[in-house]
Amino acid sequence: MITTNDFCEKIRASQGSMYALAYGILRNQHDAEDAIGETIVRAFSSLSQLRDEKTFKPWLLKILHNTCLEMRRKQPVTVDIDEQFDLKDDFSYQEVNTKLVLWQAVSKLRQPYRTDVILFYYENLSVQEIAGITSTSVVAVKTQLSRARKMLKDALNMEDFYYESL
Amino acid sequence: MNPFDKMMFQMAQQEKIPVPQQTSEKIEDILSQLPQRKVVRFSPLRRIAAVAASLVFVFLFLLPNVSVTYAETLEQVPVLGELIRVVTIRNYVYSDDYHDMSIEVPNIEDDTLGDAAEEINKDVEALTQQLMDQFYADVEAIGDEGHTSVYADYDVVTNTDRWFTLKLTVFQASGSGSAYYVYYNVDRSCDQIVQLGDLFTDDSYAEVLRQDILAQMKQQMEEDPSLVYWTEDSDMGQDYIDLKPEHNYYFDDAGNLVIPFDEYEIAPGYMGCPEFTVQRSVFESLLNDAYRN
Repeated sequence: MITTNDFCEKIRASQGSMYALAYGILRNQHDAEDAIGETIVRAFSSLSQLRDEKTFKPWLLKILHNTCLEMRRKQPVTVDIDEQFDLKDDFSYQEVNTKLVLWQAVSKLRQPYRTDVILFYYENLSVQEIAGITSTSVVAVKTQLSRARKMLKDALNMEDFYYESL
Repeated sequence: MNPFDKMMFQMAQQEKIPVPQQTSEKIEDILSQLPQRKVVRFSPLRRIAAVAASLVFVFLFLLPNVSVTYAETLEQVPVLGELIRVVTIRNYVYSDDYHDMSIEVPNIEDDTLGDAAEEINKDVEALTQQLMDQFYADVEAIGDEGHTSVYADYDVVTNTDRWFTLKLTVFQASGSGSAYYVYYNVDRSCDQIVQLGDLFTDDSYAEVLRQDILAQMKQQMEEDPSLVYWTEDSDMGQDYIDLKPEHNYYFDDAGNLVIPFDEYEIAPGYMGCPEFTVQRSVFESLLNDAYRN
């Protein structure tokens, strides 16, 4: 049985993954914080349903993914935030000194490709785990990742890289 | 792995998305308020212990509550009588996919505490009812569009010949969470509920205790830079210690005064609900005669 202290440690270890996923979906620091807060409470309340501690992270990210989607459904979007989003203007990343080249490209992807890419490349999750988190099939995730790769290559001007590498 | 994926993984590792400080603090804030989960391990010995505990529960708590005859019989047994008079439990539980409530309600059943026990029991009942009313109103209003949780628990913090202290812990969560505590202190020599201000001859206690707590805060912050209390030297520019006559307190077993603070009262939320112990020698001369050793 996971104690409260164990739970807190697991949440601390997963906070980077949680933030990347929540921010990737909601595009807003404050909404991401709300979603993470609600997810922590939901996860703690339903901790007894977690059958295997080793699957804590995918289990947690699935709760977060569902929470983020619920928030998106409830909040009417009056502008196309995909077009409005500009990494340079977002204060949450002002502290970052490095050029987030990949992140800028990823943030321009449409859903569900953005979420797939974050979970696959940033969080090192398998396509099976991603399918579980996003409640879709393994085949669908593979297809989406394949399309996402093409979009990223275009965004990063890496078509040549791909062919040269072959 | 194809070369493109390899490069993407490398870039992703180099560009790990940083969690803003504000977000980390909010996460710590919520974590600090989570109630303790009770661990149950089922080794053979513990199974026996669990069965024994169940029997104790049945004979000490359940039967006395459902059978007046049994309770009266139990009262005749001195040791068990002492135990049974202190506290019994009622438990209110609700759980669905979106809402959780678990409220453990203490009920002091000790005649020697007289009116104090009745006063505390009524107060606890009112608080419990208020928590449940609010919870069910939230369930009705929120439905399946959000999550709410309410946990209430209690501890007997002090139980000596002189002092009986009952502590209620209430944790409410809806998105973010908040926790607060209610302490009841009963002087068993007169069976009266005693507030902090009642202990002292005049108001000077507030400044004496404040100075002692302030010194402890500063010392702790010097020893551990990760700790933050709001003192006049902190970024907030002033200290927030305001020990009103009804402020929470209790005596530890050594007779020292422990002052607990609510969340956000003297520190950021992630510091939780801090407590400070003031040595008896600091305030002994300010006590009313009735409370001096």
